[in-house]
Amino acid sequence: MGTAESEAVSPRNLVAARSARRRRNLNEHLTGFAFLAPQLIGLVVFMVGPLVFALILAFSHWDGFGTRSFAGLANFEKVISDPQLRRSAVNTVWFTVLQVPVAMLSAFAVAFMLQRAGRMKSFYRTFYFAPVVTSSVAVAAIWLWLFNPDISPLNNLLRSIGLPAPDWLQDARFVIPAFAIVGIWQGLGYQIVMFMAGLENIPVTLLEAADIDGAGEWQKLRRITLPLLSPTILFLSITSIIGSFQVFDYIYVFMDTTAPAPARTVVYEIVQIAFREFDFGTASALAAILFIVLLALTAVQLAVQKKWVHYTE
Amino acid sequence: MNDLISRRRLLSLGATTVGAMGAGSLLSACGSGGSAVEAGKGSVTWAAWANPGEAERFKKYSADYQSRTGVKTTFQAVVGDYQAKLLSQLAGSAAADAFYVGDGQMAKVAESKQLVDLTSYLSSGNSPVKESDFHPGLLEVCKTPDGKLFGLPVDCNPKVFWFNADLLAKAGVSQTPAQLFDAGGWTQDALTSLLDNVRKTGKRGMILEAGWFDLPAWLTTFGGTVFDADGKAVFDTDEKSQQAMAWLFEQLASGNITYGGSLPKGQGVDALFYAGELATITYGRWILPNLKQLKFGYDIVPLPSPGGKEIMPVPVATAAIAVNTKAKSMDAALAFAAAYVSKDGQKFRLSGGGNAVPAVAGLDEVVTEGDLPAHGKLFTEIATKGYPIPRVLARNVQLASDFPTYMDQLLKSKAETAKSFSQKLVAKLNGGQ
Repeated sequence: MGTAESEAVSPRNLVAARSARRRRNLNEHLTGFAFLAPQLIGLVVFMVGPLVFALILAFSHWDGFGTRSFAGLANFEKVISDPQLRRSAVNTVWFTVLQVPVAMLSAFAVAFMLQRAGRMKSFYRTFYFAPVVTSSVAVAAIWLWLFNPDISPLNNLLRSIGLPAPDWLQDARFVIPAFAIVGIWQGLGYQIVMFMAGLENIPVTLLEAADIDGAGEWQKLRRITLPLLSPTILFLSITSIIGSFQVFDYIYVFMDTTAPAPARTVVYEIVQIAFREFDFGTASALAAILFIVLLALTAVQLAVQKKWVHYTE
Repeated sequence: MNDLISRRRLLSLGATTVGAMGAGSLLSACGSGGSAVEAGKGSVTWAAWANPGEAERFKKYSADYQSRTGVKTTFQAVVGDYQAKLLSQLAGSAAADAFYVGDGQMAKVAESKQLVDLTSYLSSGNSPVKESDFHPGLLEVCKTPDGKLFGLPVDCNPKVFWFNADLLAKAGVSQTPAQLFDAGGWTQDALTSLLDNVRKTGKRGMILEAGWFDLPAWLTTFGGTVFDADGKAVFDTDEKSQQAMAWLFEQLASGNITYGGSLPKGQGVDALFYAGELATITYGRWILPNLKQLKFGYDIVPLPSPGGKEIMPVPVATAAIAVNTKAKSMDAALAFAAAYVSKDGQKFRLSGGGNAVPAVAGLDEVVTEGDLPAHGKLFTEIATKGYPIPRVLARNVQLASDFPTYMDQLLKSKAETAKSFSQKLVAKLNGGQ
């Protein structure tokens, strides 16, 4: 027995066992990478590569086809000192401030009510989700009609109840709110579905226990539903803020390449500067700044979440 | 989680991998945009922006050209943002053998060093078209400061004055602009009177838009000088330009002219004209196919002039076809481009419902087709006397992009006089030189 044990743990056997384990591990890793390769190659070619290239461009002068030259921080200085770009940044923040809270509150309210919709729940869910799967171009076509001051039924409705009917897309005060309305309308369905999923995951036992303890609807909402829904709220707030900072499609479809100053957002400016003005360096610098801002905002949200997000077991 | 992979999952992953590789190949094929060389007479690929109607016409032209010459000819319709796609293809050295370039981008695209200088080819005996065949001024867009020619105008669209005859009749306008022009009375006063009448009906008379195609037209048509011989903007000090600008501001203030700024798509000036909400519109021939489908009567005249009968210089929009230095069959590409803009090539493309005006002389039958509009013959005369995008905008893409936005800001502020507006625009234009 003792001899057999000493043979089993002899240095030569140990080395052989380690070597076999290493080979097995290496094979497993290689197999893993082989299976990941299609995704990894796509990630490197279409995500990491362009990201690195954009960062290089941010420090370069390049018109799209000539030779690149090192620009230092000149592109960043140009972005920061351009009054139109500052205005577009303010427009983007204004759009986010209008769109994100309104969309989230509306979606939560609808999802909360849909929990009680019984058999009609699926119908309503499909109904609300339809705009999400409608192309932005089709959405823009519908809203161009709704925002047309001459024929808009929306404006007729406002006039009929004694409210002023704005020239939505031409009046500097209303153009960003108009984009926010379209964004809320189109994005509502997705958020409703996410909130409904979150609400369905709340253990019924907790709500029943609260009932037994005599808690009212408001108390249950405040003390149980919202805390347990906080991971969904966090997820939606992060993705909504990122999405609203990147708003571009409606503006491009509504205004083409001649959007007036009050209607421009950061991503619209990036496209204009790169593809209309042939200045890829400045466009990349602006994109890099947007990336850093979004990264910082997300980091802050993730840091603060420890204080208000509750995860169930 | 189970570390083992089942046979079914393995097959599924394998299929996905093969699918992804296939999709990758397809994607790279889509992005290549290059041309395949065919033995024999060569081949040519060419690209242009095109709506469905235009794409159909271009395909027919390609088929006709191929049958006549034996050169394999492939048209690539570019939908969406043409400029961005062309730029990407040029950056990747993958553009078609010949391709359209807009008048505002020609100078910048020429800097890519991927366009063939066409000067010697046009002066050789091989070309079916010569520089002198084109309307004066149009080639200016395609030339660099040192005189090299990097494109050939495919057709053009001069600014003309369209009017809705039915709407004017309802507004009590006794003589249409066409009748006034024929009688030599199509002046600034006549236009003011027409706009006064339309305003009283509650309809819009005319809309002014931001951009080079609109404002300079109203200065030059009344005898003003917008740019001097060196290309420097001078309309802030030019007396006739200032008189015209003062008239424009008066009309804007009275409501005779509405400032449209950058009206969104679908709410644009043309949409209002089609809907019978706007009495006149100063656009090119491109609106004709849509007008043919409408019920109201319409016609064109030149913009009004000081004498009431002259055709004054106004902007002419154009586009050019350029030849790629990397064309697989250079001779085939050069021959195609020249044939495309020749008299025969333009006649083939623009006859039978075209939406532009030939860029070469001698094709009046194209613009008088079906007598729609009745004064269609004027298109050619107006194009002959017109001018292309100002040099300062053609050679400075950033200024060209900023200019409409800046003009829009000034006009919407309602704080500018004709003089201060002119001075600020001139400062912007000359600062961008």
